Amino acid sequence: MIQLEHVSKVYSGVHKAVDDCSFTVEDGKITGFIGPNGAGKTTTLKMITGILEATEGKIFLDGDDIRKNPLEAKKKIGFVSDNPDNFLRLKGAEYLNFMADIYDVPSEGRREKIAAMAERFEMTDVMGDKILSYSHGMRQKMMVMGALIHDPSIWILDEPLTGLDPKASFELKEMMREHAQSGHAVLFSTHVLEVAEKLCDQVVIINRGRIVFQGTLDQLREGYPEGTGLEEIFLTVTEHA
Amino acid sequence: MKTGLEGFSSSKKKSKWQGKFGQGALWAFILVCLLPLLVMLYRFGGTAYSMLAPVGQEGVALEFAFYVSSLVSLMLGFPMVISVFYMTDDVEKLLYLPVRPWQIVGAKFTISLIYTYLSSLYFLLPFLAGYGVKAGAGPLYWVFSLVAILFVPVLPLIYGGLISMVIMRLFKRAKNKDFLTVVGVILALVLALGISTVTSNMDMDEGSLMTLILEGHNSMMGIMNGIFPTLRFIARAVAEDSALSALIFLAITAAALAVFFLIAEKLYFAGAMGMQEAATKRKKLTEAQSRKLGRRRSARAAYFWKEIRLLLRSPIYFMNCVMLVFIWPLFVVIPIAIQMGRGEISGLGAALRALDYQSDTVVAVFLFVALCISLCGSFFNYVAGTAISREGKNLSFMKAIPVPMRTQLQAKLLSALFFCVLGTGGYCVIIMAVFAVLFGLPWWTLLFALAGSVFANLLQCSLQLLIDLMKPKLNWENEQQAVKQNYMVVVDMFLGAGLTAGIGFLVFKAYGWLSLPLIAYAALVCVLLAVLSAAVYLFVMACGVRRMNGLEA
Repeated sequence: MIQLEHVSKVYSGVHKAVDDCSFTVEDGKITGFIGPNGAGKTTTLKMITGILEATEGKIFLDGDDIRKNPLEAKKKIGFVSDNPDNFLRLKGAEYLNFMADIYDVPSEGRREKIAAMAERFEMTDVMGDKILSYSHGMRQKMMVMGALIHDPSIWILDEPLTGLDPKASFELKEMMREHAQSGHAVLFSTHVLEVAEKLCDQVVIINRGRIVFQGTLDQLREGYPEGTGLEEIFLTVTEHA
Repeated sequence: MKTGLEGFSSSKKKSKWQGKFGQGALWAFILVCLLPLLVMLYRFGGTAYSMLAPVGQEGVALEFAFYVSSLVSLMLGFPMVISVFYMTDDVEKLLYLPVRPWQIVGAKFTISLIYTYLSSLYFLLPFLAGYGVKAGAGPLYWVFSLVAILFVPVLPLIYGGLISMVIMRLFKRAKNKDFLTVVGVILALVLALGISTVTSNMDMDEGSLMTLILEGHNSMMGIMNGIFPTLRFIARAVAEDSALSALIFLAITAAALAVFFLIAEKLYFAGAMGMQEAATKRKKLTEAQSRKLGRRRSARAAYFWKEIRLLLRSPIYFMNCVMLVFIWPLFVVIPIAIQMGRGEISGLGAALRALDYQSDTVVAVFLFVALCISLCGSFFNYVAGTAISREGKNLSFMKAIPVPMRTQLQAKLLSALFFCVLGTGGYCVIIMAVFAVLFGLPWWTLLFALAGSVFANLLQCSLQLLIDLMKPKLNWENEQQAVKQNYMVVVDMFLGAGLTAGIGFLVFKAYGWLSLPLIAYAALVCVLLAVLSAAVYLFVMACGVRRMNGLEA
């Protein structure tokens, strides 16, 4: 479970990128984090993962305060950033083993786990190649695999489906569902409302740094005439915020 | 030009006042670091004039300065040119634009030239100023000096550009393109240095040399041209206010540029197209490979090996941060080998055999040389000096993983130390082992040299890391910007030089005050390095963790 309590982030002492955000990502659910460009999604995700320090407020990951107990909190997270162009000179297998070492994954069963993930994402044949030689989608798959190597209880994914082919996209969505069904929390940001509609149990909408809605999609539709599209509702919510 | 010069600015958003104050303090600090060297070069220029003017050979001093500057521009510029021309991410973005190859090469050449000015200016400007002031030079001297500063680095960079284009054309389809490129660069550097030494006419006999000196009127100019034939003209132009020589220099340089662009028109695209392609095997890992790659390590060891792999596999990082610390002996060995081949150094073997290798003095000299090499070797190694900058936007990874920042900094420092000690202490130990086997140099000196090397390099690397932590360059689009547009690297170099000179000065003073055997001073320096390195290391670790927590990518 992820809990944010009155979290704010101010850049350079003047620009408030996130303003008094409070929301909860519950266990057993997939939560979509939606908002227009520059709304504060990535800043919020970076604060949750400990990459940025919140100017105000508290963030708890399965009860651990990210500021007071960062190492324990970080061990619980599997984070996929929006930029898959990392560690390009490492081979796929080297990268995954590096991530496994960093997250202290036991050697027992490690190779089997990597092989299973590679099989699922159809990456088995390129594990010995450098990530530099991968396409954008393959790099994205590699980052997802690296983030999940230590079986984290909390998944945080920033635009994870960008660049993935239909098969990989389907597999990742399946994995997210499985993870949520096993009682864990999944938080992912997206611009694609159709994905959010099909995948999410609840959504959090952020606009200009403030949370403007949190709840289920049915709750979001309440108050709008039947048949109104999610896109229209989203535009109304963010425009009137 | 636009794509090449981006990123000179600061990487972090700050308030206006903070930014201005920080920049001012930083430049003041840089100036303080540079000042001793600038003064030394200024004096050197004046002294060279005073010594050579009475025999009418003052122009040789200028030619020597231009020759050294050209050689350094070639040595440092060549790896840079190949990186700027072919390995930056903007290459693919430029290829689909409706521009001619020579236009792209022209822009990239200009960028390389500007980078080169950053280093050649430090050397040439104070030297020429010292010379000119001492000579009471007129306005034409200063005009032609400016021409020299602007155009002397052109020819070395043309050489660099031409060799780069040939190498990239040859290795374009090669499987291990990155590796072959690096090997090609090293071979080309060796070749350039060899040709330059062979073609310079400094091997004349004493009689001819004396006749030449006595002729006066700068008759000796031209003896050290080597592969830079234009130098005699610009040296004459500056020394004798000769407008004709200046025009010849400019005309030859312009012709060389025109030829260079003509060749670029034919060769550049052939090497640049598909440059970003990486070899792929598309083969399932074997059981043995999988087992080897899947070996479990501690977080610190995994981080260390990750750093080593990225430094070795990224040609830009390898050529700019690592390579020089390994190939520097070539710059010493090649000229000596050529001179030995010409029979100019005779009796070296006999002189070495005549030494008493058990005596304290000889042993102390060996130890001092080893310590000095270790202290100086880190001037050419920027692994620690770019450790944080190289992360760029990936700094967020460092913050997101559950590994203490202290451990990550230790791994980064260790990777720098690994290369530095190998490239300095490693060579010393090998040479001393040879002397131990052949001449009976005590074996314990090897241990001493290794320990001294570790302390000396730990001190230099910790200082470099500290400086990079103070002002890392995180806002970059391609790796080239992280290492070449990072002017803090220059601060590292001069701070390291200052530290080495300071330790040397202390030893010199102590030698005057105390009457200890020479070997005791070597031991004292080693202890001093141990204490200093431990203090700086602890300081970096304490401040570094706080600083890293405050940094935002």
